[in-house]
Amino acid sequence: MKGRRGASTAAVGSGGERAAADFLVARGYHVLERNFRCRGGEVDLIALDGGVLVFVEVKVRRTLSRGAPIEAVTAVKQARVRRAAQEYLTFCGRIFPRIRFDVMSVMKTARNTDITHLKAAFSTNA
Amino acid sequence: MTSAESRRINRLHRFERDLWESGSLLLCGLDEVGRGPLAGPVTACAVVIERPLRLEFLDDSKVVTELRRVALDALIRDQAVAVSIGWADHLEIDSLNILGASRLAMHRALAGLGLTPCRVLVDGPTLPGCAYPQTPIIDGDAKSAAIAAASIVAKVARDAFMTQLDATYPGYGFASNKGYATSDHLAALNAFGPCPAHRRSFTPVVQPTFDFAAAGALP
Repeated sequence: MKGRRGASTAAVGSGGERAAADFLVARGYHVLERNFRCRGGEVDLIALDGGVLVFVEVKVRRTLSRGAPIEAVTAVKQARVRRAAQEYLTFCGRIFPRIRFDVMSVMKTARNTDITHLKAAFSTNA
Repeated sequence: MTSAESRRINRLHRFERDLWESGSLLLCGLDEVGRGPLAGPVTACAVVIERPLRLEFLDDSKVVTELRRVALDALIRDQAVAVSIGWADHLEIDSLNILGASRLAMHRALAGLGLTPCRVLVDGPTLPGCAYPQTPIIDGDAKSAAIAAASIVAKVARDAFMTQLDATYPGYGFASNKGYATSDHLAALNAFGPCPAHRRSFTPVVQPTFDFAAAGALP
């Protein structure tokens, strides 16, 4: 599928995810996984913030015409992230005492990229 | 034993009596405990009997007090032809899911009997892959003496194991909650995270209740 500026939607999305990952690394996060997928769902980024394991949903937008990126993280999407997190935590072989679910919005315009990081955007319990 | 209790014990043998009358000799009750807890193994027990268990207070392990369970456990082991316990650990529960692991524990209990029962009375739905003729009984631990006996022996064995596990992984209250999701247990999960004996495929283990304020998300 082609976006308005010629780049495919997927390309814009993965570019945005890279920008979000760089943003986290610059702030001392350790990125463990990108695009983690499993039967129940998917997570865009899994990172360590000190002792806290963070599951990040990244939303990329070029315009606000479809609403704010964070609005796009619906209850259904949250459930998919939670299920993927469950799968990851079950089989990663490590024990994490604290986890968190964040949402990052990446606004990509022609001139600049604007990143908003919302910590603990939704909770572990549905 | 009061006459009412005697009649209850009689009724508890209704499946067994039918089978004995139709010529089966060795009847095996099969039940499992520990599906619900967030930590530790699931435990199955097979109890083979050849005559009625005239035991006061014999009932589903969930309605018998802990003290009576321990007393009954000894009496059941005394009167039964054979008793065998099968386990499936938390790692098997994570990889097989709880139903698959319960069945595995049941198969292990049957395999450990060292004899061939004429018929197996299974609690719940049919046990797939069972080598012996079986009679599945929904809610069997409250309806069949053999299954009730199996549920008590399994419960006593699992509780003893969980009490020992409390020494290995203190702080979660395994000695008292046996791994079940009590409020103390959930609070400990929140504070320390899971221990190696926790079932990580169980949601409350890896996703404890979340406090936004404590996470610093709220101003």
